[in-house]
Order: sequence, then C-alpha cells, then structure tokens
Amino acid sequence: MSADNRYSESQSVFERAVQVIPGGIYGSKSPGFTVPGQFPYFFTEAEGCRVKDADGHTYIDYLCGFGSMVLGFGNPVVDNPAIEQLRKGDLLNCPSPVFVDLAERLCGLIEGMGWTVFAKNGTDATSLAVTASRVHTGKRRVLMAGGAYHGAANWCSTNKFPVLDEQDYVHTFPYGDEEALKELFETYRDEIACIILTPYHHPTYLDQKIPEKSWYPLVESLCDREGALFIMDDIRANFRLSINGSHSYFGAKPHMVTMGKSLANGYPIAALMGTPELKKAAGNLFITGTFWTSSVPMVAAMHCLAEMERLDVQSHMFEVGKMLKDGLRDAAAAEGYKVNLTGPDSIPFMTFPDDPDMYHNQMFSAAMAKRGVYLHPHHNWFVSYAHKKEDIQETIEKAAESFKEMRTR
Amino acid sequence: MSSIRKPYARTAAAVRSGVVASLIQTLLTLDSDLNKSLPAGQYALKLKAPESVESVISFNGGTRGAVLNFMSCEAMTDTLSGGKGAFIPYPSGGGFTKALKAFQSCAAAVSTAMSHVPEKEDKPGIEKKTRLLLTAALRGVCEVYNHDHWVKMKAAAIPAGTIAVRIAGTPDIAGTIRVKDKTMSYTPGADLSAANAVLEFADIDTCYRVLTGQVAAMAELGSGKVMLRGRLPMIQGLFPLLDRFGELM
Ligand SMILES: Cc1ncc(COP(=O)(O)O)c(C=O)c1O
Repeated sequence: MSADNRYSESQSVFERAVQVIPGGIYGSKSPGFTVPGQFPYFFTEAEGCRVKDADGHTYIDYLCGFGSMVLGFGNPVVDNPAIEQLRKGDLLNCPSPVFVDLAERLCGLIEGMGWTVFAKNGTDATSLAVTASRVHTGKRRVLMAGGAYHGAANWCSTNKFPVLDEQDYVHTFPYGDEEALKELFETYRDEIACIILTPYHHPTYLDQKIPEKSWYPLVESLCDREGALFIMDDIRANFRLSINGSHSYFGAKPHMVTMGKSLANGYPIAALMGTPELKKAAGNLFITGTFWTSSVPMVAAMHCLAEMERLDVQSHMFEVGKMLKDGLRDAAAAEGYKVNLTGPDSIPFMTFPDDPDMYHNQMFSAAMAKRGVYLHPHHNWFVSYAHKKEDIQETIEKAAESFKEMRTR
Repeated sequence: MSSIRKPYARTAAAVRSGVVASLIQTLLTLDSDLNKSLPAGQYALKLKAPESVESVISFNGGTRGAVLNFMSCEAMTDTLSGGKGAFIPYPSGGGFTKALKAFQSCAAAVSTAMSHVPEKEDKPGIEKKTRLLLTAALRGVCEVYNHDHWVKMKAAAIPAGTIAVRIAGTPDIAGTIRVKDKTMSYTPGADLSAANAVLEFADIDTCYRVLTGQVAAMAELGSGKVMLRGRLPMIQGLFPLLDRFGELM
C-alpha cells in the first residue's frame, strides 16, 4: 500500500500540523489510529449523516463525532435555538437559568438520579465522579475493567510514567469476569471507593461485550457489602440505548452516572449525576471550570433531549443498526469472509475473527473510505437518527464491493 | 533534586553494548574487506558488565573466545562510546586473542561507518548507512524495552507478538522485533506473513531521513511514506521507546 492522492489535502495540512502541534493530530484522532495514507485526517463540514473531508469527498459517517452526533449534523431543531442563545450570550459571569432547567430536566429523565453538575468533557465528569466517591467513602481504591476507556486523566489514561502515580490505587479486572471482581473486592476489603464501569464493554480494537444478566446484581451486591460506590460511565453509549440512561436499559442501579458526547448533539457539555444521598458529598467538592457554565450547549441539550424523546430515536437507531449489521454480515459471507458484528445495534463494530491482527479491518475501512463511507478500522461505530434506510442500503452495497476488492488483492 | 527520568547506568550500558554488538554483526554482512581481514576460524566475544549486562558478538558463527569484563556499567558505556574504559579481558575458550583482535578492528570500523555521512547522490552509501541505522534503532529499542525504568510502564502495554520493520521494494533491509514473556528481541530480516504488525517505509530515502532525524516519523506517517498495518498497539508502543533510545544514544 502507498499513500492515496485522493487525500492529498488532508496530507498536506497534516504536514503543516506536525510542525506546530505535537504528533500533528494527537490522541484518538491521530492518523496513526486510522489507516495512514488511506484515510482522511481533516474534515470541513457535515450535514445529516454525511461528512465532507478537506479534499472535498463526502462520506456516510459512522463515527458521528465519536458518538456525539445523535440527531444528525446541523440539526436545525438543536442549532437554531443554540445560535439564538449564542447571539444573546454564551459564557456570562454566572450561569444562565437554563443551567437549572437542564439539571431539572435530567433529574426527571435519568433513572434514579437526583442531582447534576455540568462540565465540558467526559474526562471532567469521570474524574469528578471518582473524586466524589473517594471523598464520600473516605477510601482510595478504584476498580475498572482492563481495556475500558474513561478519559484522558492520569488516573485512567495510557500516560504511564513513573512520575505519574495517580494509578497506584487503580486496579483492573477483565470485563465480565465475576470471579476476578470478587477477588479484587476481597483483596482490597475496606479500601475500595468505587467501581467504574461502562454500561457494556467497548474496548478499542476488540469485539464489544454485552454484560451477562448476573453482572450488575453482582457488582451492586459487592458494592453494598463494601460500602463502595458504583459509577456508570455512560459517556459513549448514552442515549443510544435508552432515553433514561443506559443503566435503565440493563436494569442496573448505579450511584453516579457520567454523560457527555450525545447529550447536546455535538455541543460541548458533559454531566455528572448522582443519587440524592450523594448530593452532600458532591457539594463538598470544589467544582468549577471557566467554560462549564456556558449556556449555548445547555440550550442545545434541552432541545436535543426533547427531540430525542419526541422521535424515539433509540428505536430508529436499533432498526437501522440491525439492518447495517445484517447487511455487512451477508456481504462478507458472499465473499467468504467470516465477521463478528458485536455491540448493541445502535453502536456496532465489526472484526474478522480469523484476523485478530486487524489487517482485514484496515483493508476494509480503507476500501470503504475510498467509496465514501467512513467506518473506523479500530474504534466502535455509531449510527444516528439521521441514518436512513437508504444510507444503510448504500453502505451495504459499497461494502459488497469492498469485500470483493479485498478478495482480489 | 534528582530526576527520575535520568537513565540508570545499567540501561545506558545495555543499550550501548547491544547496539555495538548488532552493528558489528550487520557490518560484517556488508563489508567483505572487513570480513576478510578477520583472523580465521570461529570465535566469539562477550561484552559483560555488572548487573547482568551482556552482549555476544559471534565471528563466523563462533560461540566462545573472549570476555571483556567491564568494572562498571559506566566504564562499559564510556569505552564503547570511544572513551578510555576499565575492563579486564579474559578467555572463555579457544580464540581469545583472535576475538580481541576482531573486536578491535570491527569496533573501529563501526565507529567509522556510523560517523560517515554519505553524500545525497551516494545511493550505495545511503543504503549501507540505512541498514546500520535500522539495526541500531531496532536493537536499541529492544534494550530500552528490556532495561529502561522510565518507559517500562508504557512498554508493558505492548502485546506479545512480532513486528516486521521493512522498506517497501527492498525486502532485504528489514528487521523483526519480537515481544515474548515481557522481553523484546531483535533479529535481522522479516517474514511478513508471520508478523502481527508491520512498520513499512515507502523507500530507503524515507527510512534514512526518519532515522537520521531529518523528518519526523509522524509527519511521514501522515503522508503515507511510513505505513503501519496490523496490530497497531504493538507499533504505537515502539514510538516512546524509539524516542527514549534517541535520548540514550
Ligand atoms: C466511556 C467513555 N468515558 C469517558 C470518555 C472521555 O470523554 P472525553 O473524550 O469527552 O473526555 C469517553 C470518550 O470516548 C468514553 O467513551
């Protein structure tokens, strides 16, 4: 493989980026996480479920701004009132009343939760949640699943250097491994502040895992016995499983829930919510950020929530997501490829079980990008309300061509 | 206040001696005059320092001959960097003097080859230098992985398996890095069909420019002149090791 000229503008902007930005594009948006040379790196605009790259190519998009777009890019129901608020003023000295409107709205909507604080990124919310759990319990240790992503803070990120000791009290277990979890609770008896879990397991590069029926009852009983808190990190799956929080979809009863991404259809806002008993603990923390009270994303969130509820977007996403999964499975089988399509239908991902090294994922994603479909090779995908059956059908047809191309290579 | 980042003497010695050993082996495959100038027969030389730092250089497939026993890791690093060092040579089988002699002339040849900067038009010169630089980088990365405390926690995340590093269209300039039982090792040559991940340079020039620091690997990655394929966490894990290797050498 060599660099494809189709992406020459992306490549030349990236060359400039490398001069002034460490890594050119850092983190999960780095070309190194895609198929370098065969993928777009920069985007300029988007509408509905389609994004346009810096070279002017349009893609049916299945990354949806890493999950933040849930109703469609440029949705006027969200954007018009947000723009109106922007004209009136976004970041004022103190919050605008919409701050309270949104907190009330979320407390009424998200099962079991009685208070909300707002921040910008998911990392803010998960870090606050862990801090609150430590302060509330007076204990230090944090349990999380190996391979789970809870943000870019030192307590959970891949920044692992000897001077960063925030992970000294963080312990991992294989997701869904009940015995391993029991053992950790045993080993660190009386020391565990919290367990933080995503509603289901969505590790990078790997198949997604839905929890067994016995998983949450076990987590809850271990937490009860230990006096530890259960934090549901719903930042990625949020509103793609249930309008009432993904924990309600799985019948789980967390003490705190973190949200971000799709809450405002792409506007920057994250939230930490908790049960009424924990309000005092959260109230004892110093929580602030210059931009955390900006009102435009809150207005956007209010309208996004209303629209999601009105349209029953989850049912739609389940339906088109299932159509996508079925279509891809059939298209792959027609060319003799076995594929795993895992995760909830609204958040699917595909791997090739015979190729754990992901060469096929990379070939497939590059072939799809060339045909105008953006399917990430290593990160789970998302569908949105803006993905209509015609878009899925077009995707499946292009997938059939891509599998055929792979077969002949 | 001391910096935790500072490499341990043992790390510096392991990296330096491993790289010198691999460079000598590579140079012997490239330089027939050097090869011919060596004393006849099979013998080997071991570079040894305290704290289990050891590298073996085999001449004509030999396994025994001489040991250069350095008094300290610092002495090993200094000597192999061209300074005057304290070491005691002692025999480890037949071929003692041959091994010492061969090492002396090969070490001098490596030093000359590594300080030589080929002209832009000197294609064979650039090719030879690229082979040596690639050898040094890959062996160096392995020693950093095996010995360095600073990147140890990051390196721990590299999954077991093999990474083939190669140049498109020039299959004989290639190396393989293998991670097994939390140890990383380097062997020349690469088998693409068996590799869990592939790091490929579009051409010799790109590889040369990246390894001499004239261009950033990341920039070339974006332009598609450096390709990553397969199990990416393996390759991504190499970049911090390569940066650290650059600091240590
Ligand atoms: C489950 C989960 N938690 C936390 C985060 C961090 O969110 P952010 O990137 O907004 O900081 C993410 C982001 O992908 C996520 O998926």
